[in-house]
Amino acid sequence: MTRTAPSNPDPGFGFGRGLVDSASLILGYFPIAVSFGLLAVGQGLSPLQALLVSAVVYAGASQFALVSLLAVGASPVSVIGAVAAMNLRHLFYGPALLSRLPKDGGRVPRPLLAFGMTDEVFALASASLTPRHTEMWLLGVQAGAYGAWLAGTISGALLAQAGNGRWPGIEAGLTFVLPALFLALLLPLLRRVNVVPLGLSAVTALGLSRFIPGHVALLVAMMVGAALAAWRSGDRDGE
Amino acid sequence: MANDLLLPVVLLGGLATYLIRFLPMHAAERLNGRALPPWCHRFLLALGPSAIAALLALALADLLPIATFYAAAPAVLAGVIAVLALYRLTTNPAWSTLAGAIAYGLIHIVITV
Repeated sequence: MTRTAPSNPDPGFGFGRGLVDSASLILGYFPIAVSFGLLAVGQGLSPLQALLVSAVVYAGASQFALVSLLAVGASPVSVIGAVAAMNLRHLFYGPALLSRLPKDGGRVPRPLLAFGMTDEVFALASASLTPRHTEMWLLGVQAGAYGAWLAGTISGALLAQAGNGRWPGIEAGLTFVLPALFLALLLPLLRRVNVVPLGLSAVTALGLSRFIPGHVALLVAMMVGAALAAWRSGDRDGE
Repeated sequence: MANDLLLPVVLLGGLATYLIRFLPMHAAERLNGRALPPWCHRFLLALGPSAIAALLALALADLLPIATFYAAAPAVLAGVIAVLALYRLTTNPAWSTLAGAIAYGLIHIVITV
C-alpha cells in the first residue's frame, strides 16, 4: 500500500491529547446515553443492567433495538441477529483507519482498538488523523467516548429510577447534538474535489432510507460515495 | 422483560458487535496493507468522509419529517447556522456542536411555547 504522507508520529499527539480531542464525542455521547438509560429502565431493566448493556454491546442504535425487542418478547436469536445486522457497517471501519495509522511509534493491541470503533470515533478519527497522530491518540479518543457513554447511561438510568420527569427544552437541544457533531466533523473535510462523492453519499442515504432501514442505507451510501471518490482520484492519478 | 434472557443476549450481542469490528481489522493487519491494490487504499481512505456525509444526512432527515417539515425547519436551520458560525470562529468541533445544540434548543422552545 502506498502511504500518502510520511509517518512521523509526535508524542504530543498521544493518549492525553486524544482524550482532549474526544470532547466533541463526549458532548455527543452523553445525552444519547442518558436517553438510553432512561429507556432501559423504562423497559424494566435495573440501572446496573442498563450499564451492562452499554459496557458490553457499546453500539448506540443497536442497544436501543436490543432493549426494545427484548421488552416486546422477541426471540434471543432475532434480537442478536438485529444487533449484528445493525452493526455490519462497522466492517470497514477498522481496515479504513488502519490504513491511516502511523507505521512507526507505539502500537496499541488491535483487539483493544477494535472495541471502541464506533461510528462517531471513526468519523472523528477520519477527520483528524494526520501522520503526527499516534495510536495512543486514537485510544484516548475511544476512552473519552466510552467513558461518556457509560456515564450517560448510568445517569439516565438513575434519573429514570428516581422518577424524575423530563425537561423538554434541554431534551430538544440534545436531539440536535449528533447532527451538529457530524456537521462539525464534515466541515474540515469539504474540498471542491470531494463535494460530489460526499453529496452522492448523502443523497443515497436519504433516498434509500425511505425504502430500507437506516443502518442498511448508511452502509450502502458510504460505499457508493467512497467508490466514486476512489474512482475519481484514480482518474486524476492516471490509474 | 425476561431477566434470565438478558445476560446471554447482551453477551452474544456484544460478541457479535465486537467481532464485526475486530475481524476485518485483524485481517487487514495480517495483510499488512501492502497486498492491497491502490484502488482499495483509495476506497478505504474515502470511507470516512463518505460515512460522515451519510450520517449527517440521516440525522438531519430524522429531525425533518415531511409531515412537520415547516415547523421543524427553523430550529434545524438555526442549529446548522450556529455550527457553521462557531466552526468558522473556532474550528473546534466541540464548541461548534454545543453552539448548534443550544441554538436548536432555544428556537425549538420559542416555536413550541
